[in-house]
Amino acid sequence: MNNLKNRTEELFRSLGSLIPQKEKRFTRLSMLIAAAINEGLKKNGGKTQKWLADRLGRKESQISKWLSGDHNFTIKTIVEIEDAVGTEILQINYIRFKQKASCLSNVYHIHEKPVSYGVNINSFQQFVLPQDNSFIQKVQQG
Amino acid sequence: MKIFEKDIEIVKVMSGNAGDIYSIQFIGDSQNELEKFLNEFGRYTKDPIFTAFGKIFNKLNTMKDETGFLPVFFERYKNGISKLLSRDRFNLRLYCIEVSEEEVITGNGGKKPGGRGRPFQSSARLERNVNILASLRPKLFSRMKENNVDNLYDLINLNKENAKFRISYEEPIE
Repeated sequence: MNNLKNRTEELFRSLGSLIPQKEKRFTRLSMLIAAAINEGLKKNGGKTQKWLADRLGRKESQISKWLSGDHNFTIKTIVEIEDAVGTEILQINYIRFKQKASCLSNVYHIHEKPVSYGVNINSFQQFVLPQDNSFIQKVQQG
Repeated sequence: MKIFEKDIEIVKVMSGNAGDIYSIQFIGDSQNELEKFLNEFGRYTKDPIFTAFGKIFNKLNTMKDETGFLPVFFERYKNGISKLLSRDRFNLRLYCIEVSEEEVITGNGGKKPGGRGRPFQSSARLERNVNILASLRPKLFSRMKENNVDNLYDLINLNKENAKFRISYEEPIE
């Protein structure tokens, strides 16, 4: 059975190397967004796709299509869904730090190490502000 | 229609961080059903259907490694059999049994002639592939219930013989 597992896995891997990276990344991002929406609905009292469709004034079949892992989401759609579900679906970890951190806003608390131009999809992460001011001190100390 | 009775075994073919992929293998066959699908549609990158294959491949891979087999990614028939779709002009599909969000059994698939809206029964090949899984599914779930387990890993770990089934399915004459 182990041989069989290795054989199929090897075939899977070798065929996977023939698929263009950008297609892989597109499907992955679309699926992660769909998974995040799905999780948001679950955490929001187990809301259904029909509930989301009603909230957004769309057909249920449209929501189903969005969540199928093929959909090319627009930012506008994501914002609409985030508003409806009440969960942050997409985060972009680009934050520019001032040389002198004299005016600290909440956004500084989110990431200690900003990643320029990196898109990070954190399906289930909540923004929880730290209780102490250790991070502010770190920023001030440079 | 011709009725076949055959022995099969459920085999684990891949493990990922988020889930495990199983397939079925007919006793005496050299390949499991997933391998047949991969070999038929994934070998020829110049063939236009390769793009459709890539979509299904990418979905399966992302589910295995990151999201798990969430029900939202599948469409299903009334008999409980699910399909992963390419959602393009080829309408390529891979038929599956969703066991849980962490385990899926993949069968074979194919492209549906005539586009969306036509039933899978319009293709003898697709009908056969659905019928195979549809014959296995109730037997599998009742065996899991009898053994008081809710997953394949435990079922097969309890007794290797639990992975073996005799199924009977209808195969249309082409």
